[in-house]
Amino acid sequence: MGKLRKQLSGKTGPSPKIMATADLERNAAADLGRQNFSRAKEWLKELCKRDRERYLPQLIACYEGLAAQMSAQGRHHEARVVREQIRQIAGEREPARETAAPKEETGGGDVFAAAAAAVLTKWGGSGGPAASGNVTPAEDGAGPPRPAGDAARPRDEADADALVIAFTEIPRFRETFPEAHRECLAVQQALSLVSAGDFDAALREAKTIRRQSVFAPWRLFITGLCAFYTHHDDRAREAFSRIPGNSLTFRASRPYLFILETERPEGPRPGAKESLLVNACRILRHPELDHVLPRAEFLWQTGRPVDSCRHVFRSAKHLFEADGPLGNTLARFYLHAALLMAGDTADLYLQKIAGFVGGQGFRSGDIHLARIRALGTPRDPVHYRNYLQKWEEYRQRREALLGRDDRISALVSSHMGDFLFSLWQDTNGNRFPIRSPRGRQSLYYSLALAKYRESLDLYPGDRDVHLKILELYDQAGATSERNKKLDEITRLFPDDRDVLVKNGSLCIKRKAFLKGIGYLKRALILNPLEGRVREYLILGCISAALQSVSRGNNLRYREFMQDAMEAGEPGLHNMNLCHPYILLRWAAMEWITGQEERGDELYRDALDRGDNNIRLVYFTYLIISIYGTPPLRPFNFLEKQVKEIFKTPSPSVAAAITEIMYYVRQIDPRHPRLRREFDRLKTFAMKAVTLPCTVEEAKSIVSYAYAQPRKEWGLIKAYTDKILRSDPRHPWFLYFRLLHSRRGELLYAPRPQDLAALEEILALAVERHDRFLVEKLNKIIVNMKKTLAPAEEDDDPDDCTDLGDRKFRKIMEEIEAIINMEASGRRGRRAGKRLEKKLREANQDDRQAHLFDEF
Amino acid sequence: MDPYDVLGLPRDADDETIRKRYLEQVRRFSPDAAPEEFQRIRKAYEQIKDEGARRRHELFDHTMPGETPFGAFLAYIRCCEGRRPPSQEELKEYLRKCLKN
Repeated sequence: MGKLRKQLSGKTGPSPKIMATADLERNAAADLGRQNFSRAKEWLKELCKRDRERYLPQLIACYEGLAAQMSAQGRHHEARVVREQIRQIAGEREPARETAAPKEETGGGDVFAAAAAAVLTKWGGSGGPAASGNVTPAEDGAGPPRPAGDAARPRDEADADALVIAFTEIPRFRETFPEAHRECLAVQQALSLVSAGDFDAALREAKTIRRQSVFAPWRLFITGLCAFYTHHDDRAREAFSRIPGNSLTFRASRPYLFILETERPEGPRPGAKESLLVNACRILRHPELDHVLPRAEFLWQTGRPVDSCRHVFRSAKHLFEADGPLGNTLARFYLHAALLMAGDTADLYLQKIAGFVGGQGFRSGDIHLARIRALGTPRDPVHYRNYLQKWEEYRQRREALLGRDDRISALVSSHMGDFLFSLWQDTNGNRFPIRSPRGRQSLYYSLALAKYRESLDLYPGDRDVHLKILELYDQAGATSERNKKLDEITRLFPDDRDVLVKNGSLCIKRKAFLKGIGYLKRALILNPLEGRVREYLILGCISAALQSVSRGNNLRYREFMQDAMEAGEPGLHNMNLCHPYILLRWAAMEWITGQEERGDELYRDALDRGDNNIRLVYFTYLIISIYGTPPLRPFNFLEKQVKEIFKTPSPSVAAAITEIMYYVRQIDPRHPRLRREFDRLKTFAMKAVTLPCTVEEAKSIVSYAYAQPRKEWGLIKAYTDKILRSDPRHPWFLYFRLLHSRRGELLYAPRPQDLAALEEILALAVERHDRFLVEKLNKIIVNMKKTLAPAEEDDDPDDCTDLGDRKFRKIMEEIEAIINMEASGRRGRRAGKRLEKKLREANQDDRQAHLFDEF
Repeated sequence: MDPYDVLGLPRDADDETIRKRYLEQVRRFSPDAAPEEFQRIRKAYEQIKDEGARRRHELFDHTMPGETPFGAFLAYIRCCEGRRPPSQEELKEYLRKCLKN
């Protein structure tokens, strides 16, 4: 018994002798498909014993394939033995054809061509699938199409695979099975078109293959390839996933499918088998990485990042030596990973990888390492010196390796300035336990300023750094320095729009109206479509006009209002920008300064320009009260008109009035008239609740009622119920009903059932595409989950659970920082005494804290 | 996300290439049709639009090109090389290897 037969009958499965005929046929077909002729012949021999007449041609074909395979591998002696066996099996009748056929057909030597010839012989022996062109779909509808009368051979797609990958013209194929031959050629042609990048032509060629054909999996494979290379990922995914299993095309499509799944932004990542990764590297045309990335991926996934990094840097040295984009991407991956690790772990990781990342081969490795170390240093007052030190080290390392680069140095300095500025902002007003706030603040302030100046010395044209210094002066209240800087920036960047807007708004804030308006006008000329600048300019003009009104300077305020009109635009949609509202403000100013006729004229003009007199009248009525003491006649006239408006309750009028009140409240939130007006609006809106109203109108009223310091729950409930009666699933009103039911406690003392209710409302908001509500609810839900989550118990007895211990540890860290800072010894003794005092104070604070805990 | 990945550019792209690619992407994802995608592209462009911005990005960038080494490799393919079909010989070789496996 041969070795193979022993294996077949022993270790790997039952003996062919005791196997069912159907199983033997299936195994034989599978092995023939894989060109595993040695094993196939064992199955076929047993079949021959059972039905010599039927299976002999297949056995002979199998021997042919084996002989051709051996010849191709240079095993000529063995091939001769096999051919002798063929003669013995078949007798002396047809020795010449049997042995010569594959060689003649294929030109000899090619194992794949020999396999194709064997398939043809097999088909010829039992009435092949395409002999008549008859094929039927698979019985279960899910698998590949099957040839008619297929009971004896269910794996014909393997035959088709063998014919395709032979990539050889076999004359007998064309003559005997013309239809199958045409489809096989179409597959081969389509594959070469894919290689040439002509995907449309490849698809056209693939479409000529019938869906019921044995080549149908190739049609799907080619469709998938074309979709993959043209970035139609969904289409590619669909085509590849429809390829039936255990075929060549199925195996060939798996790496493509793996890449598509890995690149999918959502959903779980597929498991990475080594063979898949190897093939993925090859199809992405990087065979040099097929022994690097699979191992690196495995090490990374099994929690060995250092080993993974070492493997990549050692196995693919050439990538890093060349300093090309692929090497940089991989280096970036391994270095940036440190920033996602916890402090100590990151330090250890960087320390371990430094040996090979920062080696001589990877020129920029050292620089990257220094940068990651700087980025990974905590940005807090305790470590601030360390943070600055790390950035200095980065700068020096870079200069040493790549030479001086003032732009990068300037950026580093300005970054250090930003950090110190943020520390200054944090300590501004905060009580600091060790040093006096003022001392620490002034230290940060002067250091930030020094770093910004250093940055400007290196690169004077950095506009952002100038603006940051301006902001620092502004926040520190250094008015004189700020104004000087403002003038300097304007000189340096006369045509920079952002600088002009910044200067303009700062000038208006400090009541230098003429200067500010000038800057804003220049900014507007540079970008006439910028609505924000236009609004700044109009508001600047109105503020300047109001100042002139208060000084009784009639001519000046008219000039300013004229400027505002020129910058404004028609319509009623924006109360800052639109002409009718500007004119009404102007009319109010004229009335206040006693120019009643001029005021009346402007008022009429404004009403003529707008088509909603209710909004305009009510706006004038409120704005005149805010701007000054209104004269009797126009005020009485306006009051009369407003009374008329309030006579007929209507939700649309109530909604318009809420919008105007909301706007005017931003100008003077504490004005007594607004409170009185809101009471009047409340009565009016409650009367109108029974009348028909739109969702938008109800939203305006409910929002305004909720925005009041003392929320008007009655009004909120009335309009919420009104809308929910007609639309019970409206998420916005359901949210307000929930707020009403919990009377504002929802956000401060939530209950688990509130969370469930909010999640239901969120689902409805998603369904209705209410983006603003979805964002709002998401934020609330996240906060609520944090509040509802049980407090984590610290079970480490050594850790400081006590507030006093924690404070003590913090103080000790501070002491270390101070000791480092005061190492010069200038104020050492005095500082020590101060420390003792601070510690005593801190202990007193602890006692107070405990009292509060008990309370 | 790394701005070079978002715009599909190599890391040594110059101002003109970046601008051209940005305009191409904006035409493909207009603010009306795909507002979120547009915002992503806009943000990416702002990060690398000129020399200063690119230097700033070089210094302070801390984005991961992928979640795993292979993910980083795919990100590189996406932004730098793109998906290139294999040559006829490579494809033949690949299919035959798949058969043997």
